Amino acid sequence: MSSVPAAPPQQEFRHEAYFYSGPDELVAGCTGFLREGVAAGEPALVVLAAEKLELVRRELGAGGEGVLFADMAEVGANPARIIPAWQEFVDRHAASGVGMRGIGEPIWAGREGQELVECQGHETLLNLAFDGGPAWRLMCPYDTATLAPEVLVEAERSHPWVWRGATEAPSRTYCNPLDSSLPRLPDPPPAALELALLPRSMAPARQLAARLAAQAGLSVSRVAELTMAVNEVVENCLSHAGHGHLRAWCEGGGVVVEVAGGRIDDPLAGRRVPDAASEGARGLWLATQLCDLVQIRNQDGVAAVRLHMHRGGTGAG
Amino acid sequence: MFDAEHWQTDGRGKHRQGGEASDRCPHRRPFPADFIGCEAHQAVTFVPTDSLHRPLLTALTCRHLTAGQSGTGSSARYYARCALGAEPERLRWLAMVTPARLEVMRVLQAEFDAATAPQRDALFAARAGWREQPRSIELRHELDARVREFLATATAFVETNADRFGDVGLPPGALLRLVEDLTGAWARSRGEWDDGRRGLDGRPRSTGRPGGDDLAALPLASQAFLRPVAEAPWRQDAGQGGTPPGTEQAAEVLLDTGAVRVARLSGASRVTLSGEVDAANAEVVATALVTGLAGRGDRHLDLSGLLFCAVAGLRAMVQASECVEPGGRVLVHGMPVHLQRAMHLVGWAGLPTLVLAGSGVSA
Repeated sequence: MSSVPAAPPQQEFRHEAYFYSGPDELVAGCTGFLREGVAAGEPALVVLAAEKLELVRRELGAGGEGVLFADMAEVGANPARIIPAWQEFVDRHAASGVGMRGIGEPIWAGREGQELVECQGHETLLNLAFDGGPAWRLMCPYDTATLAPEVLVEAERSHPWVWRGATEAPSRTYCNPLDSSLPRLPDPPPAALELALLPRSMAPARQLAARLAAQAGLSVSRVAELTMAVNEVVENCLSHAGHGHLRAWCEGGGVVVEVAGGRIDDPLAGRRVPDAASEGARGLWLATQLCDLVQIRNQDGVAAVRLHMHRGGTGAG
Repeated sequence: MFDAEHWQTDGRGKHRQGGEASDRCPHRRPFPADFIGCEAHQAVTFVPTDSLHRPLLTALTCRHLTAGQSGTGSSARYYARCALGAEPERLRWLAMVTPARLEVMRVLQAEFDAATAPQRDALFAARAGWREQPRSIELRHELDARVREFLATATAFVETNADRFGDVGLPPGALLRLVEDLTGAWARSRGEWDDGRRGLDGRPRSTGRPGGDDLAALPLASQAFLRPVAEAPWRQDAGQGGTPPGTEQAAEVLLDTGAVRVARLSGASRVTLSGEVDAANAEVVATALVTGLAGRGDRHLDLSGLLFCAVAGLRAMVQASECVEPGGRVLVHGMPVHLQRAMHLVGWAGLPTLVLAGSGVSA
């Protein structure tokens, strides 16, 4: 079995893709990486799908003392919730001065369509969120046996370091996060409902979203949460731009609401943990925490925020 | 569906002095299929019949629409009455049911109506036939067969969608007993409830009304959902020390924008916040809450009449709680679960000055 060898001591955030094939290689790579960290006294957090977590945990056995585990299905159902989870981990341990290690697998074969697009955007934003901050290593496993080749190509663009088996090398195609942009959002279906957003008038948007969400078969609590998220995003849009445009439609097993207007220049909008004492914006943060997928683009001269809510999705809590 | 109230006209109505009833339904009828004019609207399929009880057509009406009577004797006139009452009572009902639940319920209702339409129409036709010839054993059997068919279809629909009914607070078992009871009583009645005092199983009903026992078995919010406010048990809370939202006796109104209202019970430390709070009115709400909650010791904030609250509204509560005199707190009553979750997510859970009442934990 291969294992990831020791990397030279590093003083900065290091974002590494780990290309593996099948569960045996996954477990070998993860446990090697974690044991090294445990030996150095570094705290570690592992965020994987539940069944993979169990494999890693079993293999680590008693050697995994101090390693924390979290289910990616809970933490990263909406990939925009993963950066704040890592931020919390880093904030908690940065002061201790030792390094930190994370393993996170946000992309697996079941992730498709817009969800995959957002996961890839998340991988890119990790560089932006943690570059220049405390030193720690984040390893992102990619299963070469099940993922499409273009997904692996993209992983090399978003990770400055790539492990293949036991060999680590800098990525030749790594792209500065400020230079990479997410693809355009697909056009809404022709049947999408439309609503002009007028100054200080949020109620019509709430009513439309709630009605469509109920028609899409969402549960009572999900209807209430989507209504709240839509209201916050509409308030944001109106407070910056004064007016805007809402479109909403049913898609797959749920509903999508898009709010367009103004501009959003912070690429990490919605991913920064709000400070209880600050007056700062909480709208996009709350929408990101409540919805199954949040997509933000500046396109066609305005910011578009798309909120996805599935019929049976998993909320953040 | 399980329409406990539509099959009778109770003739009661409330009147302002001088004539116009405050509970008159202000909307144009018949309601279009996409009617959105009233937040409490609950579309139900209604089959009017002619004087021989023959079905005329299928129309959409509102569950809350009844006939009210104004005046007496020869000057008596009927008007379209909202069983929920006047505007404040409609909003109180909506807060009890919650807007999100009502939206989901509306969808279930429409799907139920569509799924049972053929059986419902056949049932109406059979009932008309039997009422024309009440002595006909054959027609009576025909009616019974149609009742069974309708109930079988209704049962299949409810069982297929059991999770969704449970989600809106209508346990499928209790709901089906209610439907069965009401359908049987209606089919055999001659327009009065008198012959409905026994269930299909022949047992007398303790409440003396079809569906009464089944209704009583449902959660309170679900009962509010199915019967008019006038009869809802939660309404009687007013006489038992509870304070239903919006019914402040001798309340001092600190803010009333139409969308949102802040009121303080005179001489009490209790403030009610009802209606919809968002960024458009959060500032004035905050000011009103600061005024209303001023004073020593624990203050009480009642949210049970709240229809919607944005983060800006939560911030208003936080600000008001920070203005309470040192040592005092704001105890929040009736905060919906999704708002509790929002408070947690935005980092306002655990504030020492804003505490969820009854739970012992901070809002």
